Amino acid sequence: MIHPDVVFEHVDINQARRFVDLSMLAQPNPHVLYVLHDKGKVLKAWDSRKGTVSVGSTLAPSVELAEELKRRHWVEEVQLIDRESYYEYLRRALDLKKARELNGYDFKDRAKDLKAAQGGGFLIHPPREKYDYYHYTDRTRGFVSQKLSPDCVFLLGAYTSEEWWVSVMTVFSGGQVVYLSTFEYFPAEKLASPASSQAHEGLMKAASSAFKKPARGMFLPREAFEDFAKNQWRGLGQTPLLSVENA
Amino acid sequence: MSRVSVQPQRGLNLSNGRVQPWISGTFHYWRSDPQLWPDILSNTKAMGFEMVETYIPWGVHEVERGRFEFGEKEPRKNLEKFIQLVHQADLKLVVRPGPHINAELTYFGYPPRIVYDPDIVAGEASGALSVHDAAPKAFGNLSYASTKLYRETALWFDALAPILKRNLHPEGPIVALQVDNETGYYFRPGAYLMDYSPDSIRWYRTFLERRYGTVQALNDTYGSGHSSFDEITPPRFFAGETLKDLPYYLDWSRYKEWQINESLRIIGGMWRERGVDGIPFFQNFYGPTDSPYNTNEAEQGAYGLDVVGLDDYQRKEVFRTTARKAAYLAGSSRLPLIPEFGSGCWSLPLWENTMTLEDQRFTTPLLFMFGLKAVNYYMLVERDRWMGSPLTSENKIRHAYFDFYRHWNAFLRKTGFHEWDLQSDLLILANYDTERLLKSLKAVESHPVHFLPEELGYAWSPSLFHYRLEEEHPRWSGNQWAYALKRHLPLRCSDTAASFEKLRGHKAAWVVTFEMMEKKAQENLRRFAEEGGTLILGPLAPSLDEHARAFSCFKELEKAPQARLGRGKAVWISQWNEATVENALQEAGIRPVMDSLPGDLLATRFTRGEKELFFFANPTGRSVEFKADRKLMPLYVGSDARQSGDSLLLHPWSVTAWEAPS
Repeated sequence: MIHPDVVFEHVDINQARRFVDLSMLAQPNPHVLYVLHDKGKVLKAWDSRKGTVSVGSTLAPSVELAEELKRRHWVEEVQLIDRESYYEYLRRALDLKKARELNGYDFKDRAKDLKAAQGGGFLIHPPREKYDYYHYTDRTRGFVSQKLSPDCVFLLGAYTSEEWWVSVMTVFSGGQVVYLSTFEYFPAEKLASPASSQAHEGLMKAASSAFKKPARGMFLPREAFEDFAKNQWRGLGQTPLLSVENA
Repeated sequence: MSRVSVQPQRGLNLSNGRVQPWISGTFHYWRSDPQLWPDILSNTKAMGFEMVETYIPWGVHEVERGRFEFGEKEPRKNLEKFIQLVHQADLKLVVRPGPHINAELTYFGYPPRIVYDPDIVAGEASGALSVHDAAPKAFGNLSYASTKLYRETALWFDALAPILKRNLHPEGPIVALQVDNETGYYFRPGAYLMDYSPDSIRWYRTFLERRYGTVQALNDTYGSGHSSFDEITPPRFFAGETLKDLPYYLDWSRYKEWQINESLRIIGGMWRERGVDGIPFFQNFYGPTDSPYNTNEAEQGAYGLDVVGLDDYQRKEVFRTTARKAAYLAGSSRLPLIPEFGSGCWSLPLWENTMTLEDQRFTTPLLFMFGLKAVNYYMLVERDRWMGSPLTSENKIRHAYFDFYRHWNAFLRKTGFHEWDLQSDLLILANYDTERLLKSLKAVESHPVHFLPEELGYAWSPSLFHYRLEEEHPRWSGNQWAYALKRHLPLRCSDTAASFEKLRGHKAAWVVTFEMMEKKAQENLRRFAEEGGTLILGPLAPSLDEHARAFSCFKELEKAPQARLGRGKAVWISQWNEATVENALQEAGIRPVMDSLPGDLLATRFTRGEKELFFFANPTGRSVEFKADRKLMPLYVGSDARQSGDSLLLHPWSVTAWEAPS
């Protein structure tokens, strides 16, 4: 979904900082029990909140065992890692030909998918939803494929009464992201009155005109965006998706 | 012929006898409209810069293998025109021609054909080729041992060398060249992550042969029965059970340190063979100072590097790390240099430490306060995949950034800051041997495609050592640094790989020690004490050498916690106790930079002849008021500090500089 030569410019660093700070609060940080073993001989068990714990000296890895450990240790996730199986996973995931063939996100997704296909040797229970660089990738892909067209400009802006608090403009071409910026891309006069619907429409028309593509946009108050960022499973809720066809 | 040389602790000694302070900023010529180049350079000068820096990207200039474009068709790639404009603007130029540059380019500046070549890509312990798992495109991490990499790099250097050669100072503006960039396994410091490629294993065996001379000597150390070096395979994880097992693993970490430095030696040599010579060659490790990044070793001459610096991109809240880095460079390098200090930040991918102008206003002077003498601000001119620079790619001025640099550069110039000396009675040494040991003790490594907590990797037997090193070493080292800052001790830092000459001149040296320490490092420390210094060790006095054999230069400490050694002494602190530390330092004649300063404040002192210059920093979110014990005149106070009688008021997150009238 991302072009190798994607251009990422006109980024307001203060907006980027706000987005990063918010995302770091929201990023998944499950309570995990890691068990490293060598063909069933336990080398170390590490609870991400309590430190070293005991799970016995041997184990026979299985989903049932992982579930039992999850309950017994009151954790959200269990990882049972046989060292050689972990290496086997890395051998499969780090395929240079695939790296050349796929875009970066598809390569990452492939590596993540493989984690769920390693049997008992490298077992993550329950499987994690894919998350990378501050977003859930499958949900983002779903939004793009269901709500946007392969060739369009998408604007997302969170505003206060005085300023654009966080914003992003994404240009899609042939289904790939080819350009990214914040609203700093636009001339200053277009950024006035950020809470007004006229301003939103003006930005979309300007974007559509500049990139010669239809524009889609979602604009919401800062508070609503913060609420979304902290509870991403809710999505952007009732925020309408605005449209401007080729301006 | 030396055109430009390093003037230790000062800057660049130009052939006309003038010392040029190294204060530069980055501008990527190929990423801006060439018509803007003169005006961008003009604005750079208006900020007070006398030097600019640029990468020269192999992957951008290569049209096809062995054929290059330098502006014949695309004006943005007209490197020589850019260099000449720099010269005409009376600016000096630092070039960074790779082969690796990163530069936030999709393939880190290499041509794609290089990063997908399995003969060039590094190998991992798993047997996989090493892939840099990145957006927008994953690509191979290269092997510094790859013969083919150097063969291909030679084509790039052959094309570029004539341009660089005819533009060296004084005929042209080029005054320094970076040998490769952030050479260090592509941000993968784990001992057992890479490089297991066939070329690297060949290098590993060469390294062992040079280290031991004969396979019998190696067998004696390892307790092994190899009949030749070719039989030796590298460790893929730590599985030792006894002390005698350790050298095999430690040698792999040592090899990885050597691989980096040897690679830099080869690349530097390639430039010299092509006549690009007579100017300082430097390297920038990306930040860490523990294995495999052996900065002291890298700068010691055998690898052809004049200066080894460290890059830094941090928010103000991690000021202790930033201060430590500057103090480390002040104690380790002949020219304390940060070749990349964040002026803005990369935007792809977004980074958790993205720093704003508010961060830069604090951390920039903080670095100089702790001994930095040379810096390159990366980037002065914004561009694709970069945000928060004083100039936009269209050469529009971001006034708040612009004014900050102009103000700070004016301070450096007005005071002749490069001629002031940081006062440091105390030398704090990081224990490089313990750090290398910790790197070697990993039973499993976290990997960029699957995070594992560091602590999980330490699955070694606790019976090997008295303490759990992964817990006690950072605890003691953290306490040590926090104490030194809190007590405003006049200091520099380095590590136990430092030569004896770097210890000289300090009243005391303080190093956190456990059982293992290289014989050479122990001997250096003992000599330091014997020549009159005070040496503070602990929690354990060293008792093993690098081969895990019984060895101690400090047997006297087995009988008593203090011992006279020649004209000086050694003090052993077995339990963390500030009163004991305080007592040892006082007896060594170590006094705070200034008495009665608030504990939250940071303070350092510089001198130039009889003159004194003090820095005070307030690294908190509230104002701090205090009385200085002498009269001070403000030199750099921004709009944030106030002086009322003897009382100084420092506003939150501010750094100030003051001169004590002589």
